[in-house]
Amino acid sequence: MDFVTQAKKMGVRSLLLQGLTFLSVLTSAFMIWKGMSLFTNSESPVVVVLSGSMEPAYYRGDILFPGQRTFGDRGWRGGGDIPIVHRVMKVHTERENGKQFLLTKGDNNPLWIQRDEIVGRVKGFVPYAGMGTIWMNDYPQLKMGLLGTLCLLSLFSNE
Amino acid sequence: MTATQQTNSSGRVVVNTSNLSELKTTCDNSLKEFLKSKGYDEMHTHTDVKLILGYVGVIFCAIDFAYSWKYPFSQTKWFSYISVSIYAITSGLALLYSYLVQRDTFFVGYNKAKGHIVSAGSSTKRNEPVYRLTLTTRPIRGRQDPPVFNSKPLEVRRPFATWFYEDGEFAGDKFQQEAAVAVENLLNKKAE
Repeated sequence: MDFVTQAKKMGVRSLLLQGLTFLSVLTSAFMIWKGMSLFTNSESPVVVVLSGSMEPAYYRGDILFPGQRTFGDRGWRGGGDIPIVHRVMKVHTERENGKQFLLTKGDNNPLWIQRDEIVGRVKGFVPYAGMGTIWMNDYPQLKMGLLGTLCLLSLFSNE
Repeated sequence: MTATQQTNSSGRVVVNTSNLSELKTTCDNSLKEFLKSKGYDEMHTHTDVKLILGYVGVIFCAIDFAYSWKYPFSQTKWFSYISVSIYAITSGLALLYSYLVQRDTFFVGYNKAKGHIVSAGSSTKRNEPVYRLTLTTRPIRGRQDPPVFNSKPLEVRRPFATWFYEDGEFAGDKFQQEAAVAVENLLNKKAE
């Protein structure tokens, strides 16, 4: 009941304003990410490398940026929820319909993947910058703690 | 409401005199109270515009989030273009509104009985403990126009020390006396 009385005292507008301040933290983060997605024309504009399978090129904790899809030696496959990075070893072009199949290193299945399954090509990378994401995945309390801190800070700031 | 402002049971307001923003906010709130007590009802146009722009952006963001969560990227791309654009536009407009229209206004009050609207804005310069108050007024026209003021503003510039004791206590009544004088000057100027 205390929250309700306090809320009434503050007025609806004040509550809405505070709500907006808090929400704009979340929405601007999402919109920036979406904007980058649209710009790079790929589902996930930025990806953190989670495993060590791409060493010595990419280590655990690197962030990768996809570019436009062209030939490249590191293709990036969107299969399921998490994009996977593979090295493209061979390209096979069907003569009839021009469909291209790529064989990537590290695929567990013997099938070649189709070109349109490729989400993007790794254009650049920032080493170690993704460690934060890995820690947050390994320790979910960290993620909750960070989110909670951000919310509290936005509620207490004065304009 | 600053979290660090303290009003204890006797009604004394004590602030940190080194914090310029606290000093300004205290004076702003006191002026607001003064004007409200003189029959000026607060007009929330500035706040409302920003709220509407903000929430439109939030709504589109929420819809886009839900849509792209459920369906793959290539399918939802078209909507994402729309929602990102709308979000950018509303955010941009809100920012422009804040800088160009609202500026440093913290209170707009309309007095139906007297038939005019008073707008109060204040600012401080870094490292300068001076309260710069700008008051403008305009008559209430037939319909509620956007609060853009044409009359020449009345500017009052006083050091904060005029109303604050050394320990940070705010001399509210002294401030309100000077505020009354300022508002009267404003309204008399208008009548000339």
